Amino acid sequence: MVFSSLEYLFLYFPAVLFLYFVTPLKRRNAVLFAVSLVFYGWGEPLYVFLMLATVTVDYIFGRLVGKYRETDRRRAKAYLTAAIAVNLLILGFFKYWNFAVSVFTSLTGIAVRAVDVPLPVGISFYTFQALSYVIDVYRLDADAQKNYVAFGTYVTLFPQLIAGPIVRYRDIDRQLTERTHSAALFASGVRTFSCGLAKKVLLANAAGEIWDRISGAGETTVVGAWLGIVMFTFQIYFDFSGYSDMAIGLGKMLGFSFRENFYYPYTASSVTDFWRRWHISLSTWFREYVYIPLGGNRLGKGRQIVNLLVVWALTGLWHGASWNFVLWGLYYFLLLTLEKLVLLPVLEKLPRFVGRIYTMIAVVFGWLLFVSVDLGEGVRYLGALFGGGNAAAFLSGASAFDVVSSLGLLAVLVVAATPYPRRLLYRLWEKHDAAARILTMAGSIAALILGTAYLVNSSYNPFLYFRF
Amino acid sequence: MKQPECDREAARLLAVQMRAGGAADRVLIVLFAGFLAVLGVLFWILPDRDFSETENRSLLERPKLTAEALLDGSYTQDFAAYMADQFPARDLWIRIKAASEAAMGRMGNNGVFFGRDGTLAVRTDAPDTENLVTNLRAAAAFTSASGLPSALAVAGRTMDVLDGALPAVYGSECADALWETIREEADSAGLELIDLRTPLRTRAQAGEYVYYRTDHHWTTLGAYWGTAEILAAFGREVRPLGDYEREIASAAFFGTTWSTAGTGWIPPDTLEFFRFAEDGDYLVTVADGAGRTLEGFYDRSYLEKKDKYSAFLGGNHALVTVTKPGEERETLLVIKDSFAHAAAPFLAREYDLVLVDARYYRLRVADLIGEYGADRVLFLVNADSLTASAVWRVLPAGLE
Repeated sequence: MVFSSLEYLFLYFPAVLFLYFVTPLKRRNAVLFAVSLVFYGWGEPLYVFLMLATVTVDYIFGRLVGKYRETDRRRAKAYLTAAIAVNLLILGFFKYWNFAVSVFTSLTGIAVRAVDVPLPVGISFYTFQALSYVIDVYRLDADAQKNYVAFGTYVTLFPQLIAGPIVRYRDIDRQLTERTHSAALFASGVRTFSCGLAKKVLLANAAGEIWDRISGAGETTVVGAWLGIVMFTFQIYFDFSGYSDMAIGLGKMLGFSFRENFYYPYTASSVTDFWRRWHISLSTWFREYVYIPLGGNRLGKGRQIVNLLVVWALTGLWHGASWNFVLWGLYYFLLLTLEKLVLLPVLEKLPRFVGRIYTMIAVVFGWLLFVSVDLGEGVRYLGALFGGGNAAAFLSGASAFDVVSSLGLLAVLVVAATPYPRRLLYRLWEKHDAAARILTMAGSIAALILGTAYLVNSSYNPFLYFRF
Repeated sequence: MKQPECDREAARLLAVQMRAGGAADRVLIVLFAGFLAVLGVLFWILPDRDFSETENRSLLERPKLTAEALLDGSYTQDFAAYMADQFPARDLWIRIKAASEAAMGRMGNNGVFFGRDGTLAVRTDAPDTENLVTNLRAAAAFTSASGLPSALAVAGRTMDVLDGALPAVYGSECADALWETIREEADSAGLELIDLRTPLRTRAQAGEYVYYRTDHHWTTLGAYWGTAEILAAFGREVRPLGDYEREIASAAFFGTTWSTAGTGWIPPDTLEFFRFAEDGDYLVTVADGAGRTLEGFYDRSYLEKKDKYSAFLGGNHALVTVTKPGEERETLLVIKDSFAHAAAPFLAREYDLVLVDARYYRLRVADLIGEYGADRVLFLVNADSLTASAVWRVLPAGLE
């Protein structure tokens, strides 16, 4: 199930809220665990069992690591290694087996059977969460969770289950057993959720519609191709950050506090800065659990670059089992290394907007690589941006129309990607509390109404009677 | 570790929200939870609708819950589709969406342009010319094998004919490109093309009401002028407009384009019948299924429904014949789409008609030539039908 669906919004979620708040505090984790399994099972009926297996395995390993971590480090480490291996094997099998087979076959010519299993939704997210748990326990950053239900709640918690943010165990362990619920926090959650819903349904989907039409057409124009990739750039940001906002908002309603996952990435002044602002929970995960353990920047420049290479190859692969994601990761490895070695000091001396423009250009081309699972198509699209590829002309009436009729949307997208709306809201809130509350209430309700309208419309399919 | 800026900023914003503001917070919570819960409950308790007049299609029924369907995931997918179809006040949500697009300056919604003066037109940038080529080659093969004189009359789509339907910046470039292709392909297939776009576009520019604003069809007046072009190409003349008594059959016609666009604010079209003195003398028979006869050329029961254009010849049928009992006349085999329905009364004054729609007719079209003694063949469709599917692929069957 996804938050931006009618069955979630109007059936599942009201029922969950009801069950959750009529249940005494002590039993609320059990409710969350159960409804989270329903949430997952709705889209992945069979994989619920895989998920339960993951929860159980990591629960047991967590207990074992916790038991020996202070008395027998070697033994604790062995259990940790086993836990990591099991989690990565499951992830590897479901996500990377077929890709590995195709690479292996193309290198050696030996045919290995591919498997026909769909990818369990959210497996990359919840596997990373589970891993953060055993590692945090091993590192003494958190205590092993003795309560199976509380641990199950952590791994399966539906707000962040299928699209993040990746919540590290140590950020949330205390909240699993003691969290406070209040009307003020719930109301704040409603505001955050509504804002996320608006980003996803109103902005991301509108931008995505334009990108889909342009990238799906056999032929485009230079202007059309640019409009398309710019729209995709906005789509992926508002889609993903909107989903994170919805998760954070839902968390607040249930008494949890998740960390922010995006921080206005399109205002970044360098690619390094961009990656501190984009999908923060993932970059943090890789920094904490891969980059720093590998030695980070403490073992000299050469080693640091190797570490970066490892992290970015993995980051690319994490996004999908396909060459374009690997290349996308390496693309950022190159840019980040270049910045570390030469570019950052130069950018710092230049006016800020230069860095911002350079960053956005780098990011836009990055998204083209990201979206081009078929690399040949990606190359054709890249060509179209510069007048080659499948660009039939520089500009056509249809492309000009697309640009003109998107100007309003584009203005909204640009403003919404900056920190200004939130800062204005904060200032208003400081000075005129009542006005801020009324304004956000109206905004939240409007987002709900419009969001519903767009969701219903997406299934709207009038038959013209000449096309039965 | 130092808390990152983003978390600090979020915490600051949360802190101001956590200040005493109890009443407003509770109102927001009630509105939020109430909105979700009330619509959810309404969805459960309201009876399901079978058919949507606006969308002109059957709505989905609740899927059957079986263990198998639940496990393979098809149940939840079907349920999602069912819920969207049966969502409370479905049409209202569609209109809210359209209005919000218009408010954002989008100049269109669901693939339909918002034109001037409430004119709506489906947007088609690059239609499938492969279908066009297949259809025209099949029509040519049919024609040459039949040995009968024939012509291909192609009417425009709204975007071809009503310049006012298109945003100025979009222009007629895409439409012109398609018509250039139609001319070339008709020429290379050896078909005589009767271009109904240009003359009707000229009339539309002069302010005549030749296409509906909210539907993809031509009006009765448009069909009249279209027929005039066809008859002229056959060496006959259309009867003067003054011969007809214009009856307003409905002043509240909301067509298909209006449905697609979801534009509740756009006023309806007027649908006319052009009556002539002896139109009761014609025998109009729907030859498929039960084989009923129509009163004149119309099935007035459709005027009470949304789908009012189907009043012409009773809507889409595989085969309809028109004869004038007691008179020996030439028979015209019309291979057509629904544009021919409004034109049929005008054509019938000159010819007996055999109207066949290849999308629904499951027998050999070629056999109709002998069966009805056809003297001439007319292909009459709008440009969209030529490109939407390779509908005429089946025509040459049985002729070689």
